[in-house]
Amino acid sequence: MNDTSKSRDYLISISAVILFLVVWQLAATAGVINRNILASPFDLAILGAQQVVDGTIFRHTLVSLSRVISGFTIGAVLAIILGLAMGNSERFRIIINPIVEVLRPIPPLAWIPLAIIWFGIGETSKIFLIALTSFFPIVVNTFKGVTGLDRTLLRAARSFDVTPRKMLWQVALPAAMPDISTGLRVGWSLALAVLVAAEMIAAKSGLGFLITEAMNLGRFDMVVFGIVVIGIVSVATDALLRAFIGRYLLFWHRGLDSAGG
Amino acid sequence: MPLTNQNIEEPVSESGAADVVSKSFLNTHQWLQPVIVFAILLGVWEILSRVGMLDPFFMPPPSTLAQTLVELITEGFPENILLHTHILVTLKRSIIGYLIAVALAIPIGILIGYFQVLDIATQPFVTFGRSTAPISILPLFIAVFDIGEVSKIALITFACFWATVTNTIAGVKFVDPILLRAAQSMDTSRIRTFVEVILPAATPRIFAGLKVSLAIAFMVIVAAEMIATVFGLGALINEARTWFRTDITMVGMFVIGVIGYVASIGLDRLEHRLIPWSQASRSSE
Amino acid sequence: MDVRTDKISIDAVSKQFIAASGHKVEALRDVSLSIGENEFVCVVGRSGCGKSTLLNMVAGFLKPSSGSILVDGKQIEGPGKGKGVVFQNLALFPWLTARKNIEFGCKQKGMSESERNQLSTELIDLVHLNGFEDKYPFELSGGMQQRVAIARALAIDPIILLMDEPFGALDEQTRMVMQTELLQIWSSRKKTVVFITHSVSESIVLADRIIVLGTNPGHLKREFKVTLERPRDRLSVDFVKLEAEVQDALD
Repeated sequence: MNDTSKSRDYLISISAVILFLVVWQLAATAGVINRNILASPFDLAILGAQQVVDGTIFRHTLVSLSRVISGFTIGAVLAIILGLAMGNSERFRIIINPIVEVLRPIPPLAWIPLAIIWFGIGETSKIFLIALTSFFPIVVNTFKGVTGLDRTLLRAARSFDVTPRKMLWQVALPAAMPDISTGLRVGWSLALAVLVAAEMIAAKSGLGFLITEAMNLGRFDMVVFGIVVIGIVSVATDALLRAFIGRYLLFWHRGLDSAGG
Repeated sequence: MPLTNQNIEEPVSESGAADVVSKSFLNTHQWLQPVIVFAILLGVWEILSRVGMLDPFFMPPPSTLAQTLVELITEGFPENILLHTHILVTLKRSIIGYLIAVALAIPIGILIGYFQVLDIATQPFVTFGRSTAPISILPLFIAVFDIGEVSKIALITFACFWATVTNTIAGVKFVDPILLRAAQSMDTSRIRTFVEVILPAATPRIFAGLKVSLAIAFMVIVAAEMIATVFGLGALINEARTWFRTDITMVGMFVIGVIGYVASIGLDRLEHRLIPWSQASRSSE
Repeated sequence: MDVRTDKISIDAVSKQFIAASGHKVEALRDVSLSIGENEFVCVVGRSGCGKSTLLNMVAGFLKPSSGSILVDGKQIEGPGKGKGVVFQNLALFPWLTARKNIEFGCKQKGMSESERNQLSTELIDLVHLNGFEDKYPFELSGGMQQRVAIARALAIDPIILLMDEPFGALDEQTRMVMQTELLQIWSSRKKTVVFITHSVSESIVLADRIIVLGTNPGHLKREFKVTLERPRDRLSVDFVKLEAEVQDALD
C-alpha cells in the first residue's frame, strides 16, 4: 500500500467516525434517543473534560492498569516458564499438561467467587484473577511454539554442538516467540476485560468500579464515558504491546500482524 | 482450542533411547497417563485435608465435593433451585444471545469484508467494539431493558458479535487472490465468484470466529449472572460464596468448565463435518 | 515464419510496475512473439526475467504498459474467454473434490449436470485420476493435484493453454511422469500451449520451440526450434547438445 491510498483510508475512517458522532448528536438533540441513558457526544465531551481536569479518571485508570500489569506480569512469567518446561521435559509435561487442560475450560470470570473466598475482596484476589486469566493463553501458546519447533532448526543447532541450556535460550525460546507473542496479546486483552468485570463485581476503585458506581447513582453518562475510556485504554495498550513485541521480541520476524488482530 | 493428543505426540526432545521407549508407551496408553496423574492428585488432596494440612473451608476435599454435587442435583441451591435448572437457564441465555449475534454478525461481516470502502469506514468501530470490555456495557442494557432476561441476552449478543464479525470480515477479505484469478480464468461472473469462491473460502475463518465467540459467551454470561439474579450457574457460584459454601462454588466452576469443554468439542465436530477440507488442510500446514 | 496461423501474437510488449518502494520497475521490454496453432512453446528464463509477467498478460490478468497482445486475432480484454490457465501453485479450490474442481468452469458456462458429469469422467480418465475423483485436494499427492489442475483447465475446452511453472514443486521423478503425461494429453487434444519453466531439460522434453528470456529488464534473448522426435531421449547426443546451447543462451 502506498502513501496516497493510506491517507485516503484515514480520511474515510475519520469521516465515518465524524458522521457517526454527528448523527448521534442530532438524534440526541432531536430526542430520538433517551439522553438519560445515552448521553450525547457533546455532553460526554464536557463530562470527559471535567474528569480529566479533576483527575478522577486518571486515578481510576491508573489503579486498573497497575492491577492488570502486576497480574499479567506474574501470569506471563509463570506461563512462559511452565510452557518451556513442558516443551522440554517429558516428565514435567505429563504432570502439568492434564492439570492445565482441565482448568483451562473454566472461564476466568468464573474464578471470581473463589478468588474472593481465598484472598478476600482486596488487591490480592484481583491480581490472582488477572494472573490466572493471562496464564492460560500464554502457557498454551508457549507450549505450542516449543513443540511446533522446526526439527531441522534443532538438528542444525545440534550440529554446532550447542549445549542444552543454550539450546533453550538461543533456539527454542526465540523460535517459539511468535506463538508466545500471540499468547501475550490474547492474554492481555482478556486480562483487561476480566479485571473490569471483577471491579464491577467487587472493588472500591478502578474503571469497573467507576461504572457500577455510576450505575447505582443513575449517572448513565458516566457509564458511557467509562466504556469509552476502557475501549481507549484497551486499544492503546494493545498498540503499545504490539510495538514492544515487534521491537524487542520479534524484530527478526516478518508478518507480525498475522499473529493476531 | 483444547490441545489434542495429536499435539502431544511429537515432543521436541529427541534426546535418545529413553525417549523412544516413553513415546511408544505414550502412544498405546495415552488416556492412562492423565488418569493416573489425576488419581494421584485427588488422593493427595484428600489426604492433606484429612490430616488437616488443607483447610476445608478454603479447599474442601474431593469427597466433600462429590457429596456437594449430589446435593446440588437432588436438593439444589440457593432456594432449592436444582443444578439442572441453573444449567438450563445459563444455556438458554447464552445460546439465544449467541445465535442472535451470529445471525447478525455473519451477514454484516460478509458485507463489510466484500466492500473495501465499508471495511475502511467501519474499522474504527470494529476495533473499538472488539476492545471494550463487554461486561461494561451491562449497566446500559439494564437501563434500557430492565434487569431481566433481555438485558443478559443482549449482553451476550453484544459480546459475541465482535469476534464473529471480525473473523467474518477477515475471511471474506483475505481470500487467496490466486483462487479469484482461477475463477476469472474460467469466466466466472461476479455473483458466482462471490457465492462459489469467496463464501466457501471464508468459512474456515468464520468458524474460528464462532468458536471464539462461544468461549466469550460462556465467560460473559457467568459474570452477568453474578451481578443480578439467583438463577444460572454464575449466580450459583456467587451466591454460594456469600453463604461461605466454597464446595458449591468449586462444583459450580467444574460444571461450567465441563459445559464449555463439551460445547467447544461439539463445534469442532460440527466443523469437521461441515468443512472437512478445512481442518485437514490446517493440520497439514 | 510459419505457414500456420498465429494463435497468439505478442507485439512490442513492455511492462512496468510501480514497486512498493515507489520506484518504477521495468519487468519486460519490447517483447514480440508469435505462437502458431497447436504449437507447444516453452518460455525459459531465470527468476526475475518477467516470464510469469508475460504469461499473466497473455492470460489477461495484467495489462501491457505498451504494445498489444492478440489471441485468436482479437485484442485481449481480460481473463477468461477460452484462455485456460494452470497456476504455479495450482489454485485448486480446497472445498471442492477433484471432480467438482474439474467441473467448475463448465458449471460457469451453464452446462447441464449430466453433460458436466460425462465431461469430467472423460477428463478423469485422460489424466488418470480414476479412483480419486471424490477426494479433496488435500487428500491428493502433488502429482495428482497437478492432474486435477490440468484437467480443470482443459475442461473449458480452451483456445490456448497457459501453464506457469506447473511442475516446479514436484520431485524429479513425478515431474518426469507428468511431462510424459502432458505430452500424451497434448497429442490427444491438440492445443496451443505456452509453458513457463526454469528447467532447460524440461523445456527440451516438451517444446516445439523454446523462447529464452534475458533479465534486467526482461527481454527476448534467443529462440530455439526443437526438431527432435518425441518421446525425446534425455541422454541422446542431440538432446544433450541442445541442452548445452540453451543453457549457454541463459547464462
